[in-house]
Amino acid sequence: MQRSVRTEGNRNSSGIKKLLTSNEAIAEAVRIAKPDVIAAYPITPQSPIVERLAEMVDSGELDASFVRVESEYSAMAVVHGAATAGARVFTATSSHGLAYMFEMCWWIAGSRLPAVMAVATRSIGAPWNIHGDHTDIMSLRDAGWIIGMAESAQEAFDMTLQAFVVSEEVNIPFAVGIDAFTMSHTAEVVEVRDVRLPKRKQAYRILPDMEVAVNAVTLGDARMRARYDLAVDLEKSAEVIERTDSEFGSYGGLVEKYRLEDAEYAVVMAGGWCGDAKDAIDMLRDEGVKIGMLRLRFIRPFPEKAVKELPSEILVVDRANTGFRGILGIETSSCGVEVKNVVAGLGGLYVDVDRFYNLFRKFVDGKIEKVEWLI
Amino acid sequence: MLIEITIYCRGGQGGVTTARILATAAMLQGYYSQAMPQFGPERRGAMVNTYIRISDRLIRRRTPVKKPDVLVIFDRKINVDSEADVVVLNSPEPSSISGKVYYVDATEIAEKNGLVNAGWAILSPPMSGAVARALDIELSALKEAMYAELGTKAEKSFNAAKEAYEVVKWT
Repeated sequence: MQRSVRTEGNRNSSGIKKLLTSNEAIAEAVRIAKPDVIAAYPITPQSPIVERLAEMVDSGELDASFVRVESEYSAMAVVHGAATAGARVFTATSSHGLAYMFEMCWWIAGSRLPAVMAVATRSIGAPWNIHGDHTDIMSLRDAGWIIGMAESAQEAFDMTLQAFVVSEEVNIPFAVGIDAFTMSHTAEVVEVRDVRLPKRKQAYRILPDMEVAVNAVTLGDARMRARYDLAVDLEKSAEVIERTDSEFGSYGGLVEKYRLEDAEYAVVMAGGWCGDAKDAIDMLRDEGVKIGMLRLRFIRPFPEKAVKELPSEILVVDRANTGFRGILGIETSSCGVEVKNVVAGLGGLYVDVDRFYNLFRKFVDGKIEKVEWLI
Repeated sequence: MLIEITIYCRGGQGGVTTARILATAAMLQGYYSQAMPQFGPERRGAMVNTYIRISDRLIRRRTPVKKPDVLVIFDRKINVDSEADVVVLNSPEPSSISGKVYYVDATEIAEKNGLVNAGWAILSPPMSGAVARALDIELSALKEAMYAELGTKAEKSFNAAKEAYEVVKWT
């Protein structure tokens, strides 16, 4: 088990302000985390993360092995192998790249290995589209990953650092989501804090010259036990996320509760587009409407407790759909609450402050159907 | 306070660099700021928008600016319907566009300072200077921002920016 950074005294460190895109902010966080191995294949809109890291390795700013691979499948295979050897590992991808590495995402989670992956969340074709929605990252839910969703470049920076600590303590891979372009390519003011993370420790090391069979063929009992343990530990990772929250920006743990104290209406959302939605919530608050937002900072572990505390009028705004409702709509309603569900903003379709205002106004006026698409 | 700025330029003229320089300069003066490119096929010579936001409060919105307070136009042949209070224009003379118009011959200043790439004047330095003047950003903050964004190439660029900052006229 890793020690928490709490003992390393990061809480009060202050940083320097820089103008960074979320891509650049993640690269800065990775530099500070000092990974041993980075493997990645470029894909829009994630590429600037690993391009920046490649520059850092080239200039000697970052002492890591940067493995250039021919595909995302190999990128995840490389970080999987390096993690079994005890290395701290990082990769990044988006959209089709994540789809292509999907099989290895299951292997690394099932092997109970820590890894951090940034996902600049982008739609998956067809039709071809390089812009933002949350369809890609949501596919990691079933594989057994921790899934975080940042709202700002600052949070992307903080969450990436926290990801290494959490992932290495619970031995579960951790994906950090940022919205394509509106975060990945938008520069904002970020306070870069030069924190010190504890070194990664692993009880065993598997090296190339060792004769070890990893992940042998199992029968149902071993597989059942492994999946059960992963499910239990994934839920328990919430404790680690909450315990280390104050070391990494004090965002509130699994969720951010925005103007929810006295709210009669609650909006449930995740990701960078929550910023525009919060400005719309402020407009309705100015009109006397008691509305707030539960921002899901984590999709896994799912913030069930916070959902159960919501007022009875709930609107879930999804940026990823299934053949049956939006993904967060299904997830939220599985906690035993009634929700209205709107699917919006797919393929980078802008939902700005005015559109959020109109949507929330319609919700408050009781005019939203059970499931709607904002087209 | 929230100032929203839209830059109109042609791909290759330096709109994104200008946004980053000005957002950095605003940050150095203690403001929150944001620089956002237009996302999509950005081709050399095609009209593109870039956006800047500057505020004394945390900026949360991340969608393109719809009603800019300030318009920055790199090429006066780009036709823009303006309702902005302030317009910063690359032109030797003022235009009939509405609002308070800051105008400077940024192309001439860029060329004079040797800021030309593949036959195209690099307009980001002089236009950054002119906009900084219009926004009341200090020259020292602009200088630091340009060195932060451009590194060792900044000296020539800053000279052009400083000249535009000093000679820009307004209506």
